Amino acid sequence: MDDLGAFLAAYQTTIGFIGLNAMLALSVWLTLYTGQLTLGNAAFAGIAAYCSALLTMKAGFPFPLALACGAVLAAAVSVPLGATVFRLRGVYLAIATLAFGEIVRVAILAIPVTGRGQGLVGIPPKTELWHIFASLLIIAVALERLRRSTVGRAWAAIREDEVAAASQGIPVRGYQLAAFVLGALVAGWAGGLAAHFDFAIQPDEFGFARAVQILVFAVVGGIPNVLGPIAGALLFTALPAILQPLQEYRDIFQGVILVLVIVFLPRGLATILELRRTARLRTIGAEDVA
Amino acid sequence: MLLETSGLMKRFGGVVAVNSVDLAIIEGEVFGLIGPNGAGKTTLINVISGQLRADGGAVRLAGADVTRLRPDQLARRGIARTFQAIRLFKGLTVLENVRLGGFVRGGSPVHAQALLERMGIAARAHALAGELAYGDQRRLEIARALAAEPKLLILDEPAAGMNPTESAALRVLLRSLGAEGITTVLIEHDVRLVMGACDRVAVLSFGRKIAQGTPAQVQGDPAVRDAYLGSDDDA
Amino acid sequence: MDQIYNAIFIGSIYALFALGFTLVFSVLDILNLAQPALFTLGAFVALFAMQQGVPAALAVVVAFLVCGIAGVMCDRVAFAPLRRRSAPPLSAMISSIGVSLIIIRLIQLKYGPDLQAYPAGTLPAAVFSIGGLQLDTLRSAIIALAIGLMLGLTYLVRRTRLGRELRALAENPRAARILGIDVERAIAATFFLSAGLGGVAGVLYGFATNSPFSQMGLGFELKAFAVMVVGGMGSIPGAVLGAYILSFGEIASLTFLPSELRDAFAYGLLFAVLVVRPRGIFGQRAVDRV
Repeated sequence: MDDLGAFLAAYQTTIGFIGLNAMLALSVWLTLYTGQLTLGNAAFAGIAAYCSALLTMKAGFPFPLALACGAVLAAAVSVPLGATVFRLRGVYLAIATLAFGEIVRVAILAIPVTGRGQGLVGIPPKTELWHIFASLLIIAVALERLRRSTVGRAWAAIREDEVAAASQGIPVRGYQLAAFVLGALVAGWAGGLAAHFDFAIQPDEFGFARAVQILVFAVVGGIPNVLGPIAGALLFTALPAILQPLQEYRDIFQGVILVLVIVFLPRGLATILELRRTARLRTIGAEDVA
Repeated sequence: MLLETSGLMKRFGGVVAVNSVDLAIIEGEVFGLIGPNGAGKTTLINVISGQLRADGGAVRLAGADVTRLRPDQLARRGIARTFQAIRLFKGLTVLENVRLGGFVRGGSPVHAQALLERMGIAARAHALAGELAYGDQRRLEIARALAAEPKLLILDEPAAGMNPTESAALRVLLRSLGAEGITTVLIEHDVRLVMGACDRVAVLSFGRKIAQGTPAQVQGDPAVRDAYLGSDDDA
Repeated sequence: MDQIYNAIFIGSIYALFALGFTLVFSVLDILNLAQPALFTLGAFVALFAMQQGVPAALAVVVAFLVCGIAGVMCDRVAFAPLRRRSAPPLSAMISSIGVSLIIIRLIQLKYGPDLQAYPAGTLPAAVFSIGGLQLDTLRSAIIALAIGLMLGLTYLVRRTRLGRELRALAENPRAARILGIDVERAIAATFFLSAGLGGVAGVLYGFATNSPFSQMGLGFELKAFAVMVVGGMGSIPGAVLGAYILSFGEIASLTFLPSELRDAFAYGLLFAVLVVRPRGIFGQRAVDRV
């Protein structure tokens, strides 16, 4: 037990980030599951991070309440954003969410209370590992149950063929928007936890690079179920920590793995668990992410 | 009168694909829509079922104006359809496809299974929809549409690619739908199917309705023969 | 007056960069998110060449060729396999993200993340006046070159056989194949041109600022999206028009916006267009009926 204690202490940050990244990956997974690519979830996490940090630091909010406020704010912002951009064809959606992310980053840099470029320091480090993993567990279970419910099946139909789904009575835009807003909520919760984990945050942490990173987790891990994004986050967060000498090449690995996965295993690594089904999907030409 | 269109128009740039078409489809009948390729039949159907927006005219379902409604809203009002180029959820199972067809009715697996039996594809319930043979895929699409328990069923060339046995079975199915309270609009090139299954038929040519009547009346109409002149459509 | 000159200058670079995206999008319907990496690559290929003693003008040509070839290779590796199984555009976008990560990281490994500078004395520093205007050789040459390239591209698209093939591909890939057009060759040419133009834009921008750095592509990427959305995705004249609208708009907005928010103009414009008229000036329908 002592050894475990020592191990945890030494790798605390990494382990914590595995959990946080897993939640962020799940948030992206939600919209990917409906067949859309959105690149705004890092920004949602950022909005919630700043909001919850400011609430605990300046307004003395209790920790859980601050987290909730941050997540709700992120979700609230996502509603008008989603309503506006989901009418657009896929590539426009990606661009719009990307632009949104940048607007958030610029806004953070411009508003004095956020500490601008220096970031926000001195955030009370209230997040414990168990907060992170309890949240992850609850979110993962909830999302998996959602995926197997009518809503999740409708999402799968939308991903397969939007036109056909609509003609069966599925309100396509509404369901996609729901996934998007739920994703923002989850990303926001993770953002709030992240802010109180490392005691300082900076605008760059929630920019385009981060959005791409969590996309990689979700895509590489795979979308058939919630284990995929979690596995993807685990792989990419733990690996650089373990392979210390290869830190430098982390981005190259991520890039190479991303391309390899998209080309050869489009539904992600999780499909290794369902090789037969994947092979069947391949014969009918339906093996892609969207 | 279950479905009426009055003066329905659809343009694509300079081309008028649907030119002031009036239809009055009676409840319980099987109504055929025929015409040479490119006449605008599928476009007309797409406007009625909401995939395309009308540029003029109106569509009324059971008296209510539904012209501007989205496809999913129309589905909730009881319109179901199949597509000319089959649009199944290829990566999902056969059973799942039919369950999703019944989305507006709750999507019960038991109900879906029964429909698979009726359409003769129950044995393939757990295959992926994309793995089915072409004829089976067509039948699956019909099963999926029926799962919604629609008031109006629109079938776009359901017999395409079917062999004579399969299309005979389809004819029987179509004749039985009226008794179940389902009105059917059928786009078809298969002459035997149209003659055998339809109560009335309308003929489109270059976006206009040029004839309407019983299959026998329409078959004898010289205007219809002229429209098809030069193209001997496959039976 | 100097402002106008500046706007023309920066607009020309926006245009070159956006044209790269536009070419690929119009022919293949995918957004090649590796384009900013190729932009950056151009600047650094030129840097490398000039450090070996190659004169600036020749370095531009070298950058064009190297980036063009890199673009074709990207296609072979990351896009062609997806095309073969008719994967949706989303997969290609994600794949291109992977490629981008690899290229940028490789550049960083060689040159680090900081600002670089071209070897002293290699760039023209002369200034001259025309009718009271202070202009410099460097920017004037860049503008001339950029406009020349745009005219060249227009000529190629409208008057040459390759151009006709590309336009046919953009309209209807299947028909193009049936008509005997060598589709893969035309696509390779598209990537060569697109990457080459992007690389040249990078060199020119690098010269103008004399501070190429590994993340220079990112800021430009978002501006390029704004350009394309304003002008209409997939439209070459649209990209050019959109580029100058953006650059002039940015310069004008500086009169009432603080300089940190200058970028916000581009994003704001992007959003406004997406909301009001997503297809931009010359683009195709961007809104789904579903």
